Amino acid sequence: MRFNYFLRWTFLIIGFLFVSSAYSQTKFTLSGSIKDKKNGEQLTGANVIVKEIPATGTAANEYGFYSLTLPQGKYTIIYKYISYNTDTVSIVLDKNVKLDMLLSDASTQLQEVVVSTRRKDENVRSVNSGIEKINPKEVAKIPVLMGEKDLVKSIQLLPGVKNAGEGNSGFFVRGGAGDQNLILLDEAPVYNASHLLGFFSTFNSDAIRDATLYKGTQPAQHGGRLSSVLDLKMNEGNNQKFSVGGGIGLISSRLNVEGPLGSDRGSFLVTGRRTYADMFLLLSKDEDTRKSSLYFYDLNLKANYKISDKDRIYISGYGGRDKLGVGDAVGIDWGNYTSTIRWNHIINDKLFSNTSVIYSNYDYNIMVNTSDDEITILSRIRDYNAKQEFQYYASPRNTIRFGFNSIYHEITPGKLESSTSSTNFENRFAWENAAFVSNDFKLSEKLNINAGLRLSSFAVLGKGDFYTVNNKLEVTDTTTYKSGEFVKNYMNLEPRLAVNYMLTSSSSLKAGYFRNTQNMHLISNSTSSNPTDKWVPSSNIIKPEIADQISLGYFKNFADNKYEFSVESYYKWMQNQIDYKDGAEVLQPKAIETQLLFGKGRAYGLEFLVKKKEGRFTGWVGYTLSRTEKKIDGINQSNWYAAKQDRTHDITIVGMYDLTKKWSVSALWTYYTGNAVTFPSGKYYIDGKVVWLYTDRNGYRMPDYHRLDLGATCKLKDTPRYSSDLTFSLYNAYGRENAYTIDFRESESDPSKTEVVQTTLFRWIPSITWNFKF
Amino acid sequence: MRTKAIYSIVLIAAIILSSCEKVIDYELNTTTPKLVIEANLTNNPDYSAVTLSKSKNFTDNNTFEAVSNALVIITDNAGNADTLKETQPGTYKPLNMVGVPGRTYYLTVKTDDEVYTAESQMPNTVSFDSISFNSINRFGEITIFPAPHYQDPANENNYYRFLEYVNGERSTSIFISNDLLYDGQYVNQSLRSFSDELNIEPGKTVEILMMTIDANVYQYFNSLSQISGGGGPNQSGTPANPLTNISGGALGYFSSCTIQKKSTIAF
Repeated sequence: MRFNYFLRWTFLIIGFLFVSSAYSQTKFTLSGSIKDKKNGEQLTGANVIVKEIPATGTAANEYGFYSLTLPQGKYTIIYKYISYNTDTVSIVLDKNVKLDMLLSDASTQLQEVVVSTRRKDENVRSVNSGIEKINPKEVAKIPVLMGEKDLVKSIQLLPGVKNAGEGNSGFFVRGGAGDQNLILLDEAPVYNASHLLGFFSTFNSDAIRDATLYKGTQPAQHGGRLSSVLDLKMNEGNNQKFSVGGGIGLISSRLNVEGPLGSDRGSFLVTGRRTYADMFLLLSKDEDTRKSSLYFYDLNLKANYKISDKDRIYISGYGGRDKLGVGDAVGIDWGNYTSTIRWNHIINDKLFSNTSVIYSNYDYNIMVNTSDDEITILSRIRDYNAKQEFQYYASPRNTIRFGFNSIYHEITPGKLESSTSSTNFENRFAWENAAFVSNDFKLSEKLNINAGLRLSSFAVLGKGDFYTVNNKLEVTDTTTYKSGEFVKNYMNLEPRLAVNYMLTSSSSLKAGYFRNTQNMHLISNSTSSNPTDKWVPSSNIIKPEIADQISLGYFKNFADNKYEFSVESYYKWMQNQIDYKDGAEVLQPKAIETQLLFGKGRAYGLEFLVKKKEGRFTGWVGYTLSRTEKKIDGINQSNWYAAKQDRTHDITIVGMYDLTKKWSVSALWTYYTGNAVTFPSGKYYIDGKVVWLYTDRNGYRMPDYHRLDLGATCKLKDTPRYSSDLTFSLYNAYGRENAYTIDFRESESDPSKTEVVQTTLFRWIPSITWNFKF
Repeated sequence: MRTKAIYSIVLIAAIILSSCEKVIDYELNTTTPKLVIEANLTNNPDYSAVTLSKSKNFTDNNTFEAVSNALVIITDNAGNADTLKETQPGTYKPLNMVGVPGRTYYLTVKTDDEVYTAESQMPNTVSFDSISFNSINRFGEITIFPAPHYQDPANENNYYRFLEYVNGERSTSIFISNDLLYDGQYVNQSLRSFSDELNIEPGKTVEILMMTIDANVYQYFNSLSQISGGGGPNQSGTPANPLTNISGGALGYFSSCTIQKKSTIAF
């Protein structure tokens, strides 16, 4: 019923759009691709401007494709892209014209300028607010922990985004939890984006072309997570010449090889990374420590090949694994594998199609060797995913995207095995589908609108046992479903709306509303990312999480777009939030629902950003004022309480300065209110020991956190054939003792007393990395 | 145990990555004292007792006030009742009630104007056969763990709690287990503690008390173990007071359980 209603609306909207573009005089279409002359990479977001009709133009999509439909006539077309030389072409448009452009990189003459992949005033002009684009080159100079460049950690420096703790690559967006971020690597969802218990992200910066974070209104083609989408695109590889690059650092090394495939037909890229922190363990005198392991590796592959002028195939793959082991006693290994096959097809000069088949896998294994038995725990999640998307360039004022996405999930929440027996947690199966349509249109010179609609459905499938749980969280009934049988289907309609009103040519007001749903939930009782956190799909009891967010922002650029200023506010309502009950049995073999409680959440905040984008000095100041709370029946006497990631103030200052052609320096300072935590207020004596008494959930705060990092880069050699540089960094330069954990214990000096102990992780961590390319 | 293992790895990683620890001043809130009830009714009168005390502020010293002159009554579903006698400040002993497996027991504690109640069903006895010892090499140190042996009854949920004494001194570690992995099997799992202060060496006397407990008491000790034990990774999980089976706002537990004792010399 609801579905029919939706279909009718969809057809009505689509119909309207087609009709509105069908009136009017004879029109022809100019289309083609825009690429880098040197390495053949597509220039996503490159601008195509019509000189004769001001404010008319388009931008290349994520595959470098552009399409522009104009009335018959003579035009001067300007192809423009930041840090590339502008090209101008005169055309007579009396038939449909296909024109592929190659732009040459101007950055060789502008080494000092921060390379940006976007239009200078994109922040003001784009319709959606809360979008952050990050290019690895842009952030290459920011000092980092142990010299390990990490895009995700650069994203944490933006307003509205918070890190998941000291040195942690997990992040929280606008009050959402860590699992509410959809992390896509070439369209494949990555379920655990961290290495080494969170200290590094799974994204090797050598392999990533750019990253886009949607923290506000998400385009309708994305869905499935409540708070954000982090869309990472892998490098395509150089299609003009072979090259080898890499880096040697204190704890890891990287190597990448790229080159053309066929003559001008395609390219490939292979990058790898391996840490060797565990080499230090070999220095230990203790045999068990020597036998311990602590490392991770990553491998990224990408290739693309042009089959015809209208068809291109992309293949990308990622594999990464962590291994941790303590002697023979305990071993954990976990990792992700993803692969994506995409087919770009230009159906005609106005209609572009992208078809993807995607596979993702995340699993972990834990082995505990007790003196008398060996216990293993295995958990896995697998996605088989197909996606079809069309982009229809109706007119220069109107672009429509529509398509569908279908994912089959296979979840093994845990398999517990000892030498004599094995217990299977119930395997779960689900089929997730979404249809979407979105429309970018200019209502007037000043008013831009992006409206979208996403219909998501989540079918919980057998086989398996499903439970009925009473309000005391006891199983009262069990129903067994056969393989493929429908247990429950959740349908949600998710409207998305973004409006941009240009106040002046350099300032705008943006407003947005969106609804998002989430059917894959990470059940975790820790703030840092743990490999053992459990992914659980919606079930007959676990309902889809739903978030509604409204946002309003003011954007202004100064001094010919050299400076950006923005202020954004948001309010978010969240339903069906999940938390473990107090004292939950995490290893519950059967109905996990007996360990869970449900409630709601709310988050609101104000974000300021001032950025200097050009010149010898670049950098930004970001400030976020925010609040995130939860209310769950059965927790904290069913009152509102601060979520763990609630931080009132969060300030980040980043500065980069080019001293000479050879040397550049950088600094980063960050300050934030400590996370909300649960500490004891009292104590009592039971079972032969002193036990802490807790009062309010998350009623205390960690001490305020602040830190200064310094960095320097020295170019050793910079020629087209060979380049190399050295980067130095000093993490926590003034040695602030930030609290990593705060523990409570009986005093070591006086057992009749109790004391509070703070552990600090990183103070004055220097690092040096050598990078090369030839 | 599993989470502890993970945290020991985190700890190793942290040591490699350099870390430091110091005692800090942190202003904690004050609390209103709460009644703490530790109540055991067993099939062995020596181990049946109810102790009452009060909680205090974190910053106070570790001497806890006993609660005297309370009315403590235990009844069962077979129509028996016993008013416990205060034998020393805060400790109340049954006069004639001895636990019988299968019966349900009800505890009532009355102090001043407050009334607290709890119930617990005594499980059947599972025969405690013997103790053996296992040694493992942990970071170059040989550690000895005792292992109780018993036959788990098949097709029912069984929960166990063990107390370990070394040369008469009790280990404060919480040893509990269920038969999730060992239903109906002959069990000889070691009692392993990652933070044990008592070092078992050959020649020392090791005494083990084995209790069969009900599901609620298991849940109490399971949640208690999550917040105690060597300072634990406090802020990683969200700590909360253990899940008590006592209603009325008191802390603690009431367990009616079977108890068996075995003692041997470690080798």
